[in-house]
Amino acid sequence: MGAAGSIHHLDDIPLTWDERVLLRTLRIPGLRQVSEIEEATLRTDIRRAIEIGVPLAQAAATARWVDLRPGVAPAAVPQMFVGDAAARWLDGCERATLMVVTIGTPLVNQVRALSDDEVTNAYHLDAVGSVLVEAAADAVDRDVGNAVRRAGYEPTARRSPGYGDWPLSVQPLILQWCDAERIGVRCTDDHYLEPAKSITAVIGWRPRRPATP
Amino acid sequence: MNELCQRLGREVLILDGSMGAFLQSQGLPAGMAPDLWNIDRPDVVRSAHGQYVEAGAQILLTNTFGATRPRLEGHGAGERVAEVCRAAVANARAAAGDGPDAPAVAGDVGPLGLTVAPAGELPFAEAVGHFREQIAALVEAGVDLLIIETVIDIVEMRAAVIAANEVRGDGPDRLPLIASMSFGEDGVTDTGVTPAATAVILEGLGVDVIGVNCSTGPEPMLEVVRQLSAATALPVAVQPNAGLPEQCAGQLRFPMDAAAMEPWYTRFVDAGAALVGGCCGTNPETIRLAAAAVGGRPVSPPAVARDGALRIASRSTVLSIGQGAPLAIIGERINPTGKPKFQDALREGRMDRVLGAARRQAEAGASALDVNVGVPGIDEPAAMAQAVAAVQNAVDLPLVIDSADPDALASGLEAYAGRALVNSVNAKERTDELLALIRRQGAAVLLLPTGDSIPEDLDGRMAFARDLVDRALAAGLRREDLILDVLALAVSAMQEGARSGLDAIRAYRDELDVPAICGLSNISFGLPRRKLVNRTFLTMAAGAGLDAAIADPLDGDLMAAVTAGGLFSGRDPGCRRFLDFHRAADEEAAPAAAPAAAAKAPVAERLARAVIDGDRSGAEALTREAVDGGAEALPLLLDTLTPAIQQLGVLFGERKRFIPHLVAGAEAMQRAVQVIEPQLEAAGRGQRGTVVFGTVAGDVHDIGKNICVLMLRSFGYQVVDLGRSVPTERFVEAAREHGADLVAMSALMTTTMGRMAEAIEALAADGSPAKTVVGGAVVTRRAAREMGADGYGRDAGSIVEVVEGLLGTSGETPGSG
Repeated sequence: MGAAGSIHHLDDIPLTWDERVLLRTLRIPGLRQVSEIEEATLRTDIRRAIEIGVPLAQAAATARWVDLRPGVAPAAVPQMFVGDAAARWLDGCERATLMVVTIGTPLVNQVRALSDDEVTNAYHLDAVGSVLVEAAADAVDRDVGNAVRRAGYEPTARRSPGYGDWPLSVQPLILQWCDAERIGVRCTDDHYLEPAKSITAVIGWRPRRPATP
Repeated sequence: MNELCQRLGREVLILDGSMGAFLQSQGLPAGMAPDLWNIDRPDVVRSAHGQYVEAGAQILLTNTFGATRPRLEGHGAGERVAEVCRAAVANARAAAGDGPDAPAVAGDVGPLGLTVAPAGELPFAEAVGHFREQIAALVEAGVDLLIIETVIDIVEMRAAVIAANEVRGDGPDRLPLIASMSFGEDGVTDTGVTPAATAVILEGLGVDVIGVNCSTGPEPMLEVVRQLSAATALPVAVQPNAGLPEQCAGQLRFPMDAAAMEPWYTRFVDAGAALVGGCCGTNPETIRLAAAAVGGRPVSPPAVARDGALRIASRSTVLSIGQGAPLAIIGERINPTGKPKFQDALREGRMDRVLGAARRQAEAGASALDVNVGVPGIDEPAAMAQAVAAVQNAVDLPLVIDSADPDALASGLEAYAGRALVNSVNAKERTDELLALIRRQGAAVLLLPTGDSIPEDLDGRMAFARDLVDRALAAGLRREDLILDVLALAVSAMQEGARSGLDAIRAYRDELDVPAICGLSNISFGLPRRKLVNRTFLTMAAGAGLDAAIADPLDGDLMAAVTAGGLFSGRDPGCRRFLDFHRAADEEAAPAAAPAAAAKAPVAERLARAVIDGDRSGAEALTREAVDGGAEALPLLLDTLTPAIQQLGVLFGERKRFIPHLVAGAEAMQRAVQVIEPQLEAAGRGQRGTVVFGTVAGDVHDIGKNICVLMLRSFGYQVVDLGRSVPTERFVEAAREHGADLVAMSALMTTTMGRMAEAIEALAADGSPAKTVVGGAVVTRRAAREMGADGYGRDAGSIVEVVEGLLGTSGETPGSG
């Protein structure tokens, strides 16, 4: 067993999000706010999805850092960071924080309940869920970034399995490493996360660059 | 006070440049706190300061950018804040010397490196505490002024300025304070705060200089300087980076040398800057050239003379209230009084009602929003913080924090990223305590001229008003931070009292030079036709000079009356506001008027419109209406519904409508078809083809598939929906069983994409004549081709076109087969 941090569980994560992101997720280009949508029906539908979706989000996360340095890194590290992309993202990093974020099952269940007879509302609510889980991940990202900086490092950008050639098959390891069971996140045999609105990711710790004001 | 500080805003003063890079060039190890070298290597720090003094810097920043407890803790030195600050001030002072022309020493304060609540975890009060600790140490060590810099979050800046104000006090020797934010290339901070809003927020907090530093390099910063100068009469400071750093041979390199920076300093001063210096990548040579170019130049007078208006701001919207500014309508609907469902939502910690009211009022044209969450038995301070955080993320209007609970006011103000108006302070309860809180938080205040009694006549109102204004000014607030309430008394009970409110409006302005506001709804209490009464009083009050009203912006007639009133009160030059409002209102009314006109139009026309607009319940009801009126199902499908959905498809192709419109339109179509389904079957309606659809084994995400199914059905295809995570053999069986013309499959992730190829092979092996289409987030056209699919569905918007192409049904009319 090499060097690794303890597991941090977070709940009551503040969700800060921008309606522009929701509109992009819904694939409505060029608008900044829902109020700018011309059609009253669509405007009302999306607003209702927000009003229903936000209270249903139960954002929770779990995160843990792991040492990457040869000789110190835990044995699981080479299996976790496979592929060229991960090597590139974490180049020069001494540690990496793995994180699992979710907004829980209520919103996902509601999307499913609407899927048969109210596809439009399901579509809007699904998009709200996507935005909220990203907002939760952003909040955790900020927290991790602050902790990384406090420790004298610079955080890298957040990356998730499935991007580049970092395979989805590492997801079970990340979940296990972060004790994601505790926040109710599991992985199917095909590496789909459940609840669906969940994210796994890594943030690298790079020694601070020489530039201060 | 240092003699130089007295020249602030009169002549251009020169700040120093980057310290960190200099220390690194002298061997500061990467990752080590530069602040600790104040103690470990004072010779190097003094040498850096000395070079800036020689270059002509008139204000030296102490080497304490990271000398707050949270940052030093990262280096095991959290307990050494005071020691580091003392050493830093001594180093700067040693380099500055003590002659009459000696540079001033500014205590430098940087961000904490933590995100302050509500966006982050660090409680506001703790943030203030960390800043207070550092600033107190700097002041005790003898700095001449303070600078808070490189802050990107306005909430953190508010915490830092509040801490600085606590330390520097209110006396005549109060140290000047520079507050400098970092803006992005788009001219706003990372959290979306504009220069104009920054100016309003920081002026409200009582800073002496507003600045921009670090950021992106000089070119984008020039526009920020212009906007700051246009928005504040305070001096403006600018400390640019030498461009954005680039990686070069493993080293950070700034693209602009001193010579490249020099011309920008003249442009900054021409744009209104009163202090110039440098940030990352600059050096003593940069400062020498800046000093030679602009040092000592007289500062341009402020671009705008302050008009004495009260100004509040959200992150990016500034609202001016006062003579000449349009009458402001502050939305009153975020208020649980008399609304049981609203109260239940607040008790359960849900913000859906609050957000709904916020969005509707913003859309209706409110100038600002009043936030009141007073429900008996709830934790009002917590609810207020939650509501303020939620509303400011949902709408971009300034907020009015409304509570009778001082703790709720405090928590609302702490959570707010802008400059709020507090509603309200009267002359009876905790007056001075509340005024002190408002001053501390940099807010504006609504003064309610009541005390032990509620005065009905003008004299009574004025007596309380004078007392409240005097006490507010004594508490350190400015006259432009104040607005007086008219006291709109119920005309049904106190007719004279209501009328004398109009006299109070004039008296507030003429005698006290303070704008007037009224809470409108009370005026009509106890009467019928309350909206009419409210509207009439508001029009009369506007004529008397009323500056703002807390009212219901969803009352369209009231909003129209307000804009019309502006035409006659000198508040709408060129009638622009009136024209804009009514242009928007006419456009908004067009769809509303259309149904009125369309009510007379044939039902088929209205039904087609409902499908195009995605009005699902409308489509269903209109179909019933058509059938009840004798319409036959098949013509309704062929001549009304189908052309409507096709027109929507055309609008989508022209990028005038988007996927959400398409989905809603398809569902409206489906609801309509469900009404006439029995008649269609009886009439022997044919289908355009049979499609078997599912997500492949292992794929549990089906929202995209569901939308595609809906689209295909609305275009007349019979779709056998197999659901999600469908085993390969089930696709084969269903294709055989239903005589499928086409099998469509979706997969969200690469791990299940391979199952599509398996299914295509299995269908071929079974001798199925069905065409195959694949799609989903990870599937590309190339992947589809490689796995042998006949078609590729990029998204729900393209599925119909793909299927039509493969089945040769593109020229057919849905349902006519």
